[in-house]
Amino acid sequence: MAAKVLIYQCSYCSYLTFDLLSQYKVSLQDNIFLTDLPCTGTISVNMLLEAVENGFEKVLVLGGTGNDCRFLKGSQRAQKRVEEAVKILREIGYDKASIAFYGLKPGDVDSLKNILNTI
Amino acid sequence: MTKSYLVIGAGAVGLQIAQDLKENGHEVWLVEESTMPGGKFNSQKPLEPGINLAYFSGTYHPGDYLFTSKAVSLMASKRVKVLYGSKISVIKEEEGKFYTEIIAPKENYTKVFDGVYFTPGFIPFNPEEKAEYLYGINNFVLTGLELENLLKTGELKKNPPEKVAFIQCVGSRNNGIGPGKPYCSGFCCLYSLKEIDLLKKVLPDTIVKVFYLDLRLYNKGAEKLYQKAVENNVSFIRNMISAIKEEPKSYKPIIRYLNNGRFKDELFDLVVLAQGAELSPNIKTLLARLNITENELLEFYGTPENPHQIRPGIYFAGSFLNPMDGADSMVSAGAAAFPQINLKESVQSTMEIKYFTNTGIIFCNCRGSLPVDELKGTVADLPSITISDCLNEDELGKVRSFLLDNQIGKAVFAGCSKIKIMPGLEKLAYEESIGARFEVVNLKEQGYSLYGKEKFKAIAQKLLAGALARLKFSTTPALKVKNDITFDVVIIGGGLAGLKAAEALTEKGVSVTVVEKQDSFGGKHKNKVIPLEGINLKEFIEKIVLKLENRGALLLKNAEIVEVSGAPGNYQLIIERFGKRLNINAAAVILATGTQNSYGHYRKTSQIIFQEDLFSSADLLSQCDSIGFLQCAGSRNDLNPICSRNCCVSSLDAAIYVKEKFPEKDVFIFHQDIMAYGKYEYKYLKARELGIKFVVYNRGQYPEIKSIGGKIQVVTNENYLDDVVLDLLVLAEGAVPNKENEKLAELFRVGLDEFGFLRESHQDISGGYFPKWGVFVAGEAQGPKTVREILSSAQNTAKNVLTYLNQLQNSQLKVNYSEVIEEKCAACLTCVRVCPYSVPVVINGKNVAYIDPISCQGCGICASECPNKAIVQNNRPHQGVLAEIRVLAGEGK
Repeated sequence: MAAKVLIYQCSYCSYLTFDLLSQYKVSLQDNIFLTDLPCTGTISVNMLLEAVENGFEKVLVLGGTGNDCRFLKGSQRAQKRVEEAVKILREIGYDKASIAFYGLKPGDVDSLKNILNTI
Repeated sequence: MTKSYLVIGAGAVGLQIAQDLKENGHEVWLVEESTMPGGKFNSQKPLEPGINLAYFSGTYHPGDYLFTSKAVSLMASKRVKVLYGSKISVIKEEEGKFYTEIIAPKENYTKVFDGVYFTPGFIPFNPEEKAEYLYGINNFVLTGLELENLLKTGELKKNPPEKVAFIQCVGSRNNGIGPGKPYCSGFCCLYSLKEIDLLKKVLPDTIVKVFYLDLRLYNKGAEKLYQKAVENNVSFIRNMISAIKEEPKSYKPIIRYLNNGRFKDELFDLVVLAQGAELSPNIKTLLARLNITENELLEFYGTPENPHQIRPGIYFAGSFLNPMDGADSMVSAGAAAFPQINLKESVQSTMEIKYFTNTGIIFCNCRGSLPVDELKGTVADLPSITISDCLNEDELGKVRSFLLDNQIGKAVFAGCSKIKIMPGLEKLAYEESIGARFEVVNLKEQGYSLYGKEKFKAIAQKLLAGALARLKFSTTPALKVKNDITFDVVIIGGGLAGLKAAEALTEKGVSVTVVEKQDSFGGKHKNKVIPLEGINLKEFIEKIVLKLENRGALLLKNAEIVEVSGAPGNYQLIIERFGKRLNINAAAVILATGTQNSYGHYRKTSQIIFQEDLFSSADLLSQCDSIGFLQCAGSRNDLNPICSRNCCVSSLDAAIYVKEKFPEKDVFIFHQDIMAYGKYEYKYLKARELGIKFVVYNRGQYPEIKSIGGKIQVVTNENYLDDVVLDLLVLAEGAVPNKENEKLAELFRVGLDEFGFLRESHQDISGGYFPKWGVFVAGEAQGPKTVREILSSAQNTAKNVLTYLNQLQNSQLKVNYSEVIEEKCAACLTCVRVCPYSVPVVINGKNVAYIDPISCQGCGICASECPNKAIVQNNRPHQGVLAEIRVLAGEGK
């Protein structure tokens, strides 16, 4: 069975890009799960690690780019949390899971396709 | 006073106006010819596939998002009647009242209204009328919208064309004989470029040639698209194409155009026509019944005081008034609604909110396209209901009674995207005074369409179970009352936009403070005496200032904002003036900093001056025999890449002014693309009729200017034209963002766009406000605008401020906010530090943090940063997210 992937979307940017995906004839495998947060800045290290603990081998946080975040600095915060969580995984030497942050503009389907291709 | 209004056309503009009027307590009837709302923004309409993408200005964005939630929340209101598939059969004006008869699918109505809003938009010009383009005869000739659809469905990839030609202005800028309109349709250059961008993404090797008259890319977002097209080797050829021929064997289209002075026939695989805008014949009939002819509409530009009212009670807005793109039409909608918006009296709320405890599921099969029935009862044993259409009043009624009958306080909506439906659902519950919390499971866009038919059921069950798990931890929304506010609005910037907004607000009884940094009001326009767009701006501004003084507005010159504290609704501003500090409280702040002039690489001499110098002294014109205008001196260059919008109109106005007064004088305009978009085209036509000479120079290749024997010589490099010798050359300065913007963005915590203008909440659809209410933008601070556009924008912002003040002083249901658990709070100030909007404060004496629910934006950054987890994000508690992850990770359901 394929590795389970959890994607945290931002309600204001990547959620919309996912809405657009199907218009571009993209489809998802059923090992990929989507959930959304009001702002990716609200994500905690706990949410990331708990996902890994529950069996997700890839956790992606898709926020906005630096200068067009709805909550001004939400994406930057999310990025920092992800770095923190990655650091913890590295410290305990757990290499079966990966956590990553990507910033993309709302409606940027091309970048999203590229990200999904790397899964 | 409550009045009743008829809004004709439920497109983006009609919906916005209906919403504004309803919010202010008026009764609104919205009549729409088609069976769905959304107009051009609706991508689900079978007749106009894909049209949604084309008409937005800067971004690729599905239009459905703009209107669905608005339409749902309108239909949830009892003061609004929405009639689809309906027609107005009779309309009569009698003593300021409008007597109408409406034929609706179920019932016919007769009704008397106090006012009528015309917002029917436009219909695309039918290219079949211009038979020379072979549209409808040759299969290789398409409209832009058809191309867009082929690109989306992937049809074009199967049989990729090698060479594609785009022909602009089909049906627009046609002043001769035959079908087509004389005006410019405004948005077609932009949408052709967007289609080229899409085309190049899908088929990067396609050769693309664009045949155009002027590339009217006046939007701030459009320049980037143009640069990208140039990088992608798209050729732009300035040529009017008179006919398309067929290659006899393959039937492929041949275009004949002028290439270096010679005709060239070129074969293309595909020709794309950019259709212009036209009026719907039904609307023409309606207008005729009100004694308004089509020409009257085309010539209508409104007065500066009332830009949208043609007669008392009859208003025009959106692209019906003037061809315009999505962003401009939203501004126009707000400005048109403004006269009807008043400051409400503050009423102590008597509303009692019903809090129910049951959880339920609302399924929507989206007009039969989602197999939700197979999910029913498989996830949880909860009360549920299935509706078929969220844009149907009866179906929404079912949801209403479902909530009431089953006493539902928390519900999962399983249907389409959350962005579309959420605000509507919340409004629906609020209208029934139910304090309900909703979660949305996106079964459509992010379910069925993404995972496909086979995987749908398993995935949908998990998503639904996850949403239910998460909902357990959410709290119900709370009613927050805030009554004791001051109606003080501070306007930063005393230019045209700031003053006009101040005038509009004081008219409605709001007390206003205008803070201007310089020692006089009026900004860039304060000395302009030559009429610009029919307005003598110097007099106009003096009149407004006088009016404001009479109304008791506080006008502060030489003043500057130095400090901002407090939260939206209750700002404390510190203003510095002559070294003294002044404290002012404000409920709302309008940023109207305008733009600064950019002079490019040019310097002023006695014979080379800038537009600002010309407009402020009309005498200059009488002293010289030949005058030239050089466009884009300070725009569209390396220093300022975008179009300043205002300068072509200014030059046309000045040129017409001088030519009408002194017909014997020679007037030249040197330009790249004359940005006489929309109805401004009539100015261009008039200028040509008067004998003003237009000389084109290529983009970036500014003509050489020499000073010879007391004259100015402009080297044209054209075969047909000798060098032009002038007495006076007027350069068009450009508009660049105000340097103050950076400081203000930091002070008020708003964003800047890539050029340095203030960034609205959504470039296309917001119509002049920031994500955070309480701070607003008016005029050119948001992007370059013409004088009329500045006035519209100021009125629209005044409308937004009034709506905001009305919301503030009346009770409202707050759904998205975070709350401090006082027992846990250690007053460590982490939340105060991390909040992007400075909402949390530590209350003196109590030593705990407090988050004002009205100002809180609900992002939850504080909740995740709080070291002691003393903050709960009510709309998405962290425990809920964790519970959802466990459900999604688990096997089975």
